[in-house]
Amino acid sequence: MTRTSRSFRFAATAAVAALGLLVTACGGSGGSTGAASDGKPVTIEYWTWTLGAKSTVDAFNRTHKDIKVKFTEIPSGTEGYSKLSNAVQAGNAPDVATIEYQMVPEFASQGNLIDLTKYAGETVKTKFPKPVQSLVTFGGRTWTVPYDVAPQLLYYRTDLFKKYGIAVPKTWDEFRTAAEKVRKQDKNVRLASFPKNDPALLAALAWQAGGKWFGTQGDAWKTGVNDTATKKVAAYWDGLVKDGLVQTFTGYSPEETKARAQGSTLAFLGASWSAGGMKTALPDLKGKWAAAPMPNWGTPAVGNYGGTSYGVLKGSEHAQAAAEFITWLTTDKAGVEARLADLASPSSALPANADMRKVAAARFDTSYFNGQDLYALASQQADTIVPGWTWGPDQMDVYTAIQDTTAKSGFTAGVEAGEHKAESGIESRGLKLAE
Amino acid sequence: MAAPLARTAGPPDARRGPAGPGGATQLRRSQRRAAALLITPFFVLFGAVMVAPIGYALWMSLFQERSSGLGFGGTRRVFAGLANYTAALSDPGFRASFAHIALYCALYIPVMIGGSLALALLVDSALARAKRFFQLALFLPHAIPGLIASIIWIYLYTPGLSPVLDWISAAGGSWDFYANDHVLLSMVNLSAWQWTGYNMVIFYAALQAVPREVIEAAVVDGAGALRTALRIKIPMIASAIVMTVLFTCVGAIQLFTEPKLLNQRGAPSIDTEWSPTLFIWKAGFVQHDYGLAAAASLLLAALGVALSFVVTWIGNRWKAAV
Amino acid sequence: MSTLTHSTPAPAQPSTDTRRQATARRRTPGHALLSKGVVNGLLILAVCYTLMPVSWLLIAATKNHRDLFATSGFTLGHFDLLANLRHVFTVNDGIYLRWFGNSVLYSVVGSAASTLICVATGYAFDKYDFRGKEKLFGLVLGGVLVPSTVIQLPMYLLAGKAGIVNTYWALLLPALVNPFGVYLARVFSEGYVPAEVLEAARVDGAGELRTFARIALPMLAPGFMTIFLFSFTASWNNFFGALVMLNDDHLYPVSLGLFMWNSVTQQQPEYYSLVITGSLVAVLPLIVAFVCLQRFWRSGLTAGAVK
Repeated sequence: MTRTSRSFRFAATAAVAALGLLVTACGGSGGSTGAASDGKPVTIEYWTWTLGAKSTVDAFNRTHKDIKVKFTEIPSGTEGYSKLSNAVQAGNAPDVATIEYQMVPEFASQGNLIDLTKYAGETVKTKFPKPVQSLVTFGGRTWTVPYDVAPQLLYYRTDLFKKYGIAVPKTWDEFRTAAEKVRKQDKNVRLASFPKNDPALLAALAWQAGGKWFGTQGDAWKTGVNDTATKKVAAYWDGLVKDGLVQTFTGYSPEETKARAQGSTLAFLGASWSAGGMKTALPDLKGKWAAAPMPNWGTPAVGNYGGTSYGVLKGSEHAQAAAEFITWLTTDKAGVEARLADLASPSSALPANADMRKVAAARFDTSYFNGQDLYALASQQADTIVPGWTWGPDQMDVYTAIQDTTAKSGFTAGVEAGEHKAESGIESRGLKLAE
Repeated sequence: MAAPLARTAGPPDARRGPAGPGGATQLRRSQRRAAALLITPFFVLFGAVMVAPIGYALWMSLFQERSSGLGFGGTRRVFAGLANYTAALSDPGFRASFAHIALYCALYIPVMIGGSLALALLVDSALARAKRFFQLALFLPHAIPGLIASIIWIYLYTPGLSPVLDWISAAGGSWDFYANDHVLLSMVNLSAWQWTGYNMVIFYAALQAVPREVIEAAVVDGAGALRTALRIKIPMIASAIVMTVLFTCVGAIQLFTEPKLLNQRGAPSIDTEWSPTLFIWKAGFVQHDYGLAAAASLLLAALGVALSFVVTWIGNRWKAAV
Repeated sequence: MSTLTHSTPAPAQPSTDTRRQATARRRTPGHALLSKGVVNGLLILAVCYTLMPVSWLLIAATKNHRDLFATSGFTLGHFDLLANLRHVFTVNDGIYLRWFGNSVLYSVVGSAASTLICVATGYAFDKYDFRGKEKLFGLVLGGVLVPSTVIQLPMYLLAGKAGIVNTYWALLLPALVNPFGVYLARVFSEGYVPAEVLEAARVDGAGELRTFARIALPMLAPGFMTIFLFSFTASWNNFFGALVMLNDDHLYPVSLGLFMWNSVTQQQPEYYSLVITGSLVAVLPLIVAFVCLQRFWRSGLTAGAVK
């Protein structure tokens, strides 16, 4: 055992030394600063579920000699986050992972993230708009580096809207009217499907309506999962479900996709990133889809539906290299281009950094949308994201409480259960809850 | 495998014969030593993976993790007494999970036990052909790991993938396997598919052991096949039935894979803490509340043991009465 | 292995020949409800139910992603089984093969070791008298009653302290302990190993452990196989344990790997084909093994049922 490992180590050192010579001879391509002091390449583990990850990692490994990234696909949602946090507990967490904004406070406060202030604090402060900064900065420290903003968008079938004689709804009232009109013409077709298992979508709609699920006041948390704006949104969708105006397929399920493919669902509530998945899930409907601003409550405003950032997980021994990889992912032209160029699963996320947004927009293949400039639309919508939203320190619990209750008793009951859980979760962990 | 064991494990004096004065005591001593050597590995491991974890869980269940303020400054562990137990017992989700399992058992046990008993009697009946083939084919689902069985059935429940739903709609009907009123049936079906054949083989084996004189006597008395089955055969294998019900109950309170996958697939009424084990999983691995998870585990273990005793006790009394 | 082929049937199972005569004699004609056609028809119906999901899996594994959703379940689409298989074995640098190897390690190696421990313990309980014997055996039976999933979380916490979470040992060590196997081993030892044989060995001057290893163990071979099958089933069904203990996908057994792939289908629907084909590859060897080894599980279930 010891003999093999020693000779292996010797061989590895020799190989690295040779590689080092080669790199020096070539003049140090890749342009990265030395991540490991002794000149060996550092391997960092990267877990994600985002589209375009494989080609991004390949591109990074092609151009970087002293940092190698190994990528693993993990499930998104609760499943993925519990896998991540358990890996931290078990001491085998990856170095880098995708953390959606909604999970940043929870992950940071549970001690799963390494404070990135000294590695990336400056980058975040100088390269990202203020509202996005506030989603990754808590307690004066930078926890993750933002990648995209996710303004909500309405995707719809242009051909079928024409067939049923519907105009693109601009307000939620118009949306309801359109839904009634569709149903009247064909009882098997609906304007949209509204999943009961996607509290993040409900959160985005509450955000749009001016709700604020969480906030801080000094060193105490404030909660408002059942605030007036949220209740208005919940009641609206309860009404649509009750009157049979929308389907309620499970979000991201085969039956939801099938209904879209068959044309029995005409539109769906998505975000900037939704377009990437449509190309692979609904390849036959190329040219029949378009995107529009999300209907609103009277004044143009949207919420963030998802949106991702990158963090370094507790236990990583290569925080510096990991931060370098993250910086490349989020603010380097090559990183953004590779993500959009993935053949199997191209991304359509809207970068939060203004320069990267231009890079992405230039790279995005608009043929699926008949040439529509999706990035221009998303950028313009991103400017109307309502400021001041904060995610909570027990967001996952709040989500499961909403989801569990909504499934049985609807959205209004769901947000009440969410509020209850938000308060009890904060208190049971010993955090301070504002009066 | 036997040879190296003898070489390494055999103590040198064990080879000496029992001859000579005091041979009997020496024999007994060497037997005792052999017994100790043979059972030690098991009990060491038994202590490590069954007794010690329970002890550690008892300890863990007395503590809670707390942080302060906004919570970005780390956590500390504080002694909590029985707070985790009261928290678990007063948690509506934890309580509801037991109601779910009770309802599940009320549906599942009659269906599965009834089904396997009926099949065992059919295979046992003189009229059945190819008994070996039927046993094998009916037992086959048990050879499939529970997780894979669940995945297959969930795909068979999924519109777009499922041939079953295609058949139903071809026949002019419609069915939603995940609907609130149906999902429990879907779960019962999944479990019954996995276990009916298994228990059928147990019942069949027990039926084979029924003394044939008893059955012949019944036939001579003019009892028909159905009557013989109900009056003679079923009471004769009562103890096998009781054992099976016991194991099924102990299995049911551990239900995890099936509700986990149904929940993941978005079945609305299967929530993230639908079964006690899902509750423990969520407390431990989603919320990282190890104190609560340990307390809930111990409560469930206590229920499991109590349940086993009650079923065995009822079984024994019933057997004595028959 | 040769001893296995001439093993005697389990003592609890009566000879099939006498049974067959008995059943032939007790045939009673005339009950319309239970005619031959009805009995066999019902059984065939039940067999269709048990075989349907597996046959669907077989057909679904031959289809590409589009046909999987576009064609009806039992109609054949474009034959893509080979492409699907190649995909299963090559995706993520062939991780599936690694999972398969891990499953073999956990289930075959773990169960073999566990069975040896059980047989030794059960044999000792049957053949030797020692102080506190029945109390210790009661403890074993108590172990049968404690639900295994209930132990999982405490074991995870303890394993975390011991530093074996997320290692092979985290699944192997718990798999070594099988109280029900000890119970079965005691039953088998009563039935298969006559006391006279041991007496004879003692008279010949053989040591106790040598007698166990050379004489009793071969006689217990069929029982060994039965207990092995029980541990084997328990270990491959132990999805919860694997989910709790393992985080590194290089340590996953097949079931946990398939679960993870199944979770990814939400964002990447192409994973459906991977899950379906991967399930088929995992299930086929098990089915073959069970058909070949049917004598052993049958005798195990018999022993469990009659006692």
